[in-house]
Amino acid sequence: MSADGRFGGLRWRPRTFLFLATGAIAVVVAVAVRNPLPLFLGLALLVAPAAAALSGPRRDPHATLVWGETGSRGEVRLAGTVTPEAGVPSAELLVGLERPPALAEVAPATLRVGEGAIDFERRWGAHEPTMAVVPPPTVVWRDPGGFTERDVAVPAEEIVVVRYPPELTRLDAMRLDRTTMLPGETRSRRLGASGEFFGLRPVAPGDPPRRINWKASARAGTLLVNDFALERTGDVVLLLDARPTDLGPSVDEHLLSIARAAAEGIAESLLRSKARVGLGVYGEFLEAVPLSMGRTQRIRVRTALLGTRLARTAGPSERCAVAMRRFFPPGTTTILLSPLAGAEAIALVPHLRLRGYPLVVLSPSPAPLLRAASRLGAEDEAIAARLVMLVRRQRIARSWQDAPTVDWDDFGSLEGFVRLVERPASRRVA
Amino acid sequence: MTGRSRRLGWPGLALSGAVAVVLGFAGPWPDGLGVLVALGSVAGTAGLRLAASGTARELAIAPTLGGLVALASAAPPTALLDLVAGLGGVAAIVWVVDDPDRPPGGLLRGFGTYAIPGLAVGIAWSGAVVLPGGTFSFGVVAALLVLVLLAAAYLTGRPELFDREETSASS
Repeated sequence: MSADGRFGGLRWRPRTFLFLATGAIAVVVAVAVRNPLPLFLGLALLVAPAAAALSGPRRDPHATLVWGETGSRGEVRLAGTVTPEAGVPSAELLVGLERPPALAEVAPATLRVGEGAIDFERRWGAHEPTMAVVPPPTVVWRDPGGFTERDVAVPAEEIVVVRYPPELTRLDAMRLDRTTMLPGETRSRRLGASGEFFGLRPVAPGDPPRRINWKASARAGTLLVNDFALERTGDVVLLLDARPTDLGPSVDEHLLSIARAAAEGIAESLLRSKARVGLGVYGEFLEAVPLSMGRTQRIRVRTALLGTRLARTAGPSERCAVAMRRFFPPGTTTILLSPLAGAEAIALVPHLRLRGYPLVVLSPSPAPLLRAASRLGAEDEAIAARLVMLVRRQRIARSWQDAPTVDWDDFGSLEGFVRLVERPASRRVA
Repeated sequence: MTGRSRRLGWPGLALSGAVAVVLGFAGPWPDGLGVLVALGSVAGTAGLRLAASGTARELAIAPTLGGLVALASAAPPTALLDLVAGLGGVAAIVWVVDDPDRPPGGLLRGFGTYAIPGLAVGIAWSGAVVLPGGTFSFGVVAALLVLVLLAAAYLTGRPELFDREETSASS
């Protein structure tokens, strides 16, 4: 679509050029051999593309789209209905939906062309934490002969698919080092394990047995757990390390996308518990979303995370720590999401600690990605994996000297991280 | 209709094949070579549609079109064969309209795409039969077709000419 909102108008397909070229050859041959037969053949071929263009809509048609995303955990199911304007047969529309690279195809697309609408469904899999934007499907009108086509205007919002480990929904128990003046004064919208009884919900992975409401479960025939309305406030800064490393751009991008999804999950969980959440993204310079709370802040954080890209140049670690003081007060609990790949990345941890930020480091491990991309034989691969593991352990140990660090190598779970932030004692560094 | 025959597009393919065989028989080809060319071109089209994908599949009609041009140029010019040659062009359009990758019913929906060329061929053939024959009429037909060719080239470069602006509501 052009900048002024107009579409490209009629487009000729390759078949048109084949017919016109063959028709032209037929005319030339007819004149050359002085035989009228190819003329009659060429006439039909020359007229066909114009006839196709005239038998379709004379301007770019419009269609309405109703679509949504369902599914949970690793399953992403997108379903919708495209309804073209009157006079445009739905059978002449082609619907294409672009799959974000972070999502995998798990089932072939289903497309049902009805009387006046097209129903489509895509099933994708999110095998790791992801935050992907799915643009609205592209809809094209194409004449039955495939000679011409037009873009169909489909005004619709894009869908953001966010998947993160389910344990992050239990972050309400996180102890925050810097809290607001009167914690507990404001009732939280977040439900949790303690407080005033709020209601019942189906059991989810990680729910302790003591929260199961056995009487209600017996009545419903399915396990139900009690939910309680929490009362708490506090400040948290999420800091994403978006600097390029020696791992290479593809692994760096991949790790950053996993870290973004985790940051989104943490922010969402904490904002629902009425904590104030800020976001910092450090590439060459620090870009920050200042501390705030509520639904608007959730949108701000999500927008900032969606716009986060890997920096071209890596800024020094000290610059990040200095810049942090301009946006966030010292003493604020800071969750650093960094792959810790390289000395400069690890140096960020002591710099932040020295400037007064109590840190928890969540480090997505590059090891599973390197293993998946490896082309080595089984024996060499085992040695390489061992070396990667040793280097990784050394880096985690270095980071632990300044802040508790979680080596996140199983992207399907954040149980270790949630346990760590739930217990302040285990976060203290000697 | 079975899946395979739908994929091949039998109506258009059979019509194209029949036209090509007639032109092959009529032409001065030695030892049935014309029929072989006819069947080979149609088989090439069928094979491309079944095996190829993407643009190659979209252009699967190319062997048949090439075969028809070759056979028509060699066939003797008679009134009946003129009509058969024109029918060959229409048959090729019918075949592309019956696209197996699109929802069924393409033959009905794409009626205008092959009916208008069919009408054009019919008018041209009637003119050729009814009007006095000879070199003069051939020259007129050729000139008209060259004009059509020029018009087609012009329209291909200016597809927006097929767009119709929406009328704006007067305030």
